Amino acid sequence: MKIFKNRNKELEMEINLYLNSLQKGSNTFLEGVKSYLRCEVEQFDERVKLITEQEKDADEHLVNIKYVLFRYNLIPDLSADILELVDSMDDINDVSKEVLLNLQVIKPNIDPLLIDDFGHIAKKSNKAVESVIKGVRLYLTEFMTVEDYITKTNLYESEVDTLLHNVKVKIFGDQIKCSLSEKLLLDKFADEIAALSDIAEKIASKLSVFRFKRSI
Amino acid sequence: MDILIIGIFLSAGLFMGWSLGANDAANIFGTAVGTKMVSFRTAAIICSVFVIIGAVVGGSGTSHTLGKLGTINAIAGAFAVSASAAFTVMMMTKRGLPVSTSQAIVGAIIGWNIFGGLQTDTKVVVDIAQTWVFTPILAAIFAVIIYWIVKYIIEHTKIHVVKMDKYTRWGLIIAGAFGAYSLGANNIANVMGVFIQVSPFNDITIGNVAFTGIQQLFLLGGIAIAVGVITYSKKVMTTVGNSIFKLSPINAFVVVLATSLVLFVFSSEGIYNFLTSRNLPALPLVPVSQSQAVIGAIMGIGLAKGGRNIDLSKIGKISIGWVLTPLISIVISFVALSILQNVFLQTVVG
Repeated sequence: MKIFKNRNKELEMEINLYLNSLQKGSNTFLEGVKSYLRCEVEQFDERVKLITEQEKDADEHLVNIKYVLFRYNLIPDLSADILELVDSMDDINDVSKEVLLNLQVIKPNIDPLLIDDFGHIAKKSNKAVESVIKGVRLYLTEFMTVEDYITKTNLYESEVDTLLHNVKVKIFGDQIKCSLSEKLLLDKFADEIAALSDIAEKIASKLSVFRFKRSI
Repeated sequence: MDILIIGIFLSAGLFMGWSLGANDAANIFGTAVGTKMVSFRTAAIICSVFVIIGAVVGGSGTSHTLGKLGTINAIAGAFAVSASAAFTVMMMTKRGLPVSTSQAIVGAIIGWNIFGGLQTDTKVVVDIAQTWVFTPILAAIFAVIIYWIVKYIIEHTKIHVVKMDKYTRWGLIIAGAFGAYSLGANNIANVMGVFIQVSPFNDITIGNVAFTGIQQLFLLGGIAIAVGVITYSKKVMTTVGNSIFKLSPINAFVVVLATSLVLFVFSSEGIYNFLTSRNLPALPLVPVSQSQAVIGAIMGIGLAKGGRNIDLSKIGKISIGWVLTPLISIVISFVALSILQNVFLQTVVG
């Protein structure tokens, strides 16, 4: 009988690999931003290559998840939730890659006074992503404990918001001596780096709803 | 007697069996099929096989109790009783009234007793009527217990959602097989019980296995139920799975298991003999309403969840059915027996 073939194992493995890819992507993003801020060109270029591969890898796993999920009609009662969740998580690597590619192409000149601020935003954004990925892993296994990670993700996101506001004040303040167009460019990059935490927050809020659906 | 005549008289029971398979299989596999956890083909095969096993192996207990209510000793009478019960069910279902085959057959047998001027054993009637009340209550109790166990397992183990899906499918299939067995064992009395005294089958022995006439009769009834499952239950299953009772697959597992346990305890001679031999109180072996057990189990889950969203009007509707169904069935049975005796000149009481 079809339903007894071990497609479940295949799906479980694909989901794990997908989450691993996203986690790696988020870490590469952080290391890439750090390399850029430290003007380590070679390392930065390596990170750009890496994130491109990781994004491609994650996309492949996402396609496999969708295929196995629907082709073999697995977890019919939760498949829509899981699909929505994994689909929205795809943005993590997309945005990470976009930020690093933009840095590589546009090469914004970041004032030494802002380097720490940008670094902190990237670090906290990465933390938010890390927490939400852990939350998703728990949703799949011990869903009762998901709430802790949802709270953590929201906390990191609000920290990023505060840091973002502070960096904007600095950018447009008198201490930073550059043209308005350069200031606007820095502002844009600050927003892009912070965008990762917003994605994490959106996933967390979905997770919070889906968690209730898992309880019987 | 001519085989064609026998076939015609048995047709009422066979129709009852077909109708049981078409409708009650949905209570077992409805959610599983409706939510696509189990394919209809798998459900139909498992249901058909186990319902036949249940009927042949475990059907005698409940039939014996119906026999105590009224021993129908003419095949035309058995036909009228069975057809009256089937007609009652059909008529009440059409009007959206809660109805149970078990209650209809009891009413029809009492109708036969009245028509034949025979005494109905009130103790047996009371015993049977009590089980109608116990059925939803017991199903609710079982459902609460099973729900708590399942909930504890889900919340306190680290089972991956994908593995949980696999276990749920297995759970639905195993509970479904048990449900089909219990349905066959418990409800075959409604299908073929009234024909026992007038069974046209003789005992046969194949190898070392003795196959009684009653078992052959039950096999025929089981096959009729299986035909109902295969030919018509898909439509009912998708309706039950998607619209009437919206249950998650795990809750459906709880409901099916609780319902099956109720039907099982009301049909298991093993449990009955074990308890009575130790002078312990035992539940009588009586055909009970599977649908009402399902409603009881669903309410049990509602209670276990904190008692929200419990539709009390359903309890009221069920209790109306306890009175209304046998009463209507008595009247229809009486009229049908009169017609068969006076118009078609058949012997309905031996």
